[in-house]
Amino acid sequence: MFENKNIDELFQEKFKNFERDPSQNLWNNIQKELDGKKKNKKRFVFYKLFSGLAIAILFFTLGNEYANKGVQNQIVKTNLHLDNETYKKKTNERKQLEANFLIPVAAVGNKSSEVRLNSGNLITKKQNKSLILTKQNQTKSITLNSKKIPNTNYLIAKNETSISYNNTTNDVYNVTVIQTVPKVNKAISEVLSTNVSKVMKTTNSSEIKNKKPLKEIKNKGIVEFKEQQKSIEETVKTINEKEEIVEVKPSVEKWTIGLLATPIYYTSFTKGSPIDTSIAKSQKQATISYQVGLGVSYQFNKKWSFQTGVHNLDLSYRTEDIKAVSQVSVPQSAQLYSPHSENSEVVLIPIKRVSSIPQYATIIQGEVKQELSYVEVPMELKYHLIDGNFGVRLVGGFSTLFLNKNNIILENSLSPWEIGKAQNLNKINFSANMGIDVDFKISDKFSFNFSPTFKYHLNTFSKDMGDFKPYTVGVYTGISYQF
Amino acid sequence: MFGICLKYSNNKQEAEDSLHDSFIKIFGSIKQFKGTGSFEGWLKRIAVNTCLQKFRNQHFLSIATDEIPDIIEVEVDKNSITVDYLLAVIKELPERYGLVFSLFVLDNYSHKEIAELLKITVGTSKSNLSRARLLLRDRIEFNQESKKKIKTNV
Repeated sequence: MFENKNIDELFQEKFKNFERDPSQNLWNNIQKELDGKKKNKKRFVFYKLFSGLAIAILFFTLGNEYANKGVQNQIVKTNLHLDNETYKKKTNERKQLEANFLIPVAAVGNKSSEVRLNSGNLITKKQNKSLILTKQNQTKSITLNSKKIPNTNYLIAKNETSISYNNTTNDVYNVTVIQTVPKVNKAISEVLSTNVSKVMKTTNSSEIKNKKPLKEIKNKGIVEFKEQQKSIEETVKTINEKEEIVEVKPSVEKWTIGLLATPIYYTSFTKGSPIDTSIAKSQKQATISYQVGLGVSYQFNKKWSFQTGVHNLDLSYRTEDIKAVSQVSVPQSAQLYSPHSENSEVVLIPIKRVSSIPQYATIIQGEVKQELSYVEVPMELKYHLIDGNFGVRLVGGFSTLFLNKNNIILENSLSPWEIGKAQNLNKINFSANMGIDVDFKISDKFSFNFSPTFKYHLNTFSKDMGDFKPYTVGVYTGISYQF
Repeated sequence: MFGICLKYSNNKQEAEDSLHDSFIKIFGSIKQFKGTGSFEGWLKRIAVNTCLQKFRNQHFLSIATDEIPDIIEVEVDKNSITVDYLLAVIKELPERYGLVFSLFVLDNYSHKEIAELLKITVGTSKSNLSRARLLLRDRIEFNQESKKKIKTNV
């Protein structure tokens, strides 16, 4: 029946529950592609995780460090502690010094003046008028012509003191000094003589002529001597302090710990093959692998440090254009075995020799990839060429390598075929290392390292591989922490 | 899902390719489906997007539209129309018209969504839809006319 229908509705009605089935193959193809992707994903995830972790650690430690920023480069005042004996001795000396300060007290008389200290001991009997200088704290009284002199600071000169004094006017002049202080404090006596000569100068004939009263002179004298005293005190203090300050050399011994990541280039000096001599002539390709690890170094000297650590070294090496042949019996086999079949062994033949393969053999063509993994423990000495914020060190030493993973894979167009393990590798071998370590200080505790290093592997193979002499060149980069 | 791919591809081969790609995408991003909204809807969207990716870079001259009525009626004998026929008719349209029509009428996308998907403006989407309807009507009616004639002639 013909009728008018809304075109939209027409379509919608007809297309309701519209389903169709695709061809059978489709699902197989989808499956194949998905399987391919899975493998890549796993590997990728692992690297992503590991690098993410490394970066996270770096950020955490760096961030932490910047939070507590503070570069200390000053010479720290001593951690030299005086033991009790020395301390007492020094204190006594100081007290003695103080006691030996000369302070003018009074002017003394003339010819027949007698000065007695502590009501008894005759000090001096000067003809001239003189200024008594007495030791602080040691005298209680001075009598001058049986007259007691006010007891302010008394000091007595050990040796001769000559002063001139005008008894009538109480003027003092011609004061000279005096070695009253112990020899060790030469400075003090210098100070003393300097200052006293000032006094001397001022108490010159002119002033005497003016006949200033003693009081003034006394005050002046005292003031000046007090200044002198002050400077003596300061001098003593300075000397004493000087003896206490010990320039502390920044402590040289220090530990450093660091995280390192390295791209490694693994290859050989010569053109052999690490797997079998029969494929020595095939094109080979060294690959760049990565190494991560932890380094610890100890600086035991200004110029030398010792370095060690633990690294995980992943190496791989490719040999191109290979046909792998699986045979029942093989006259000359490589040091490999195939896990695929108990009776046959896998022989690797370079592609040019294909004609020699018998007909019943199955052949797979591809690329042989050898994957090795070692745990490396280096032991190296570093010589410090340049130190400071930018450091350069020469590194030399050796490493012990422990074989961890050992796989040989034949990569081809279908899917990788794990051939097995190389039987010719030593479980433990060594490498001789040589390189340069460049160091930049990021902050007081952290520095950034950059070390191109060459490592020549020794006795990698248990059987003589003739022509394959592997070495690695890597640039170790990382951040290290000093403590 | 294959039905969807058929609707939005030029031919069966292309539809199969798009279906294949859609499933790869789905398995790859299955974790991103958070359970909000219908799973079926999510699958369909992926299929539609995958198919449309083939059209995205193609330029398309659009003709200036006259005023076209929204509701278009077609005179048909419902029973003689099969879904395969309608599918074929849609394919006969200029590509973008067909896409817009299918998205709007068959899969209920809004003009805004269509505009985003095909990288066109809402206005273009609307006018494309109207044009598509007109053309479809003419095509179907022409076909029906021939059938009528045949019937009457028999």
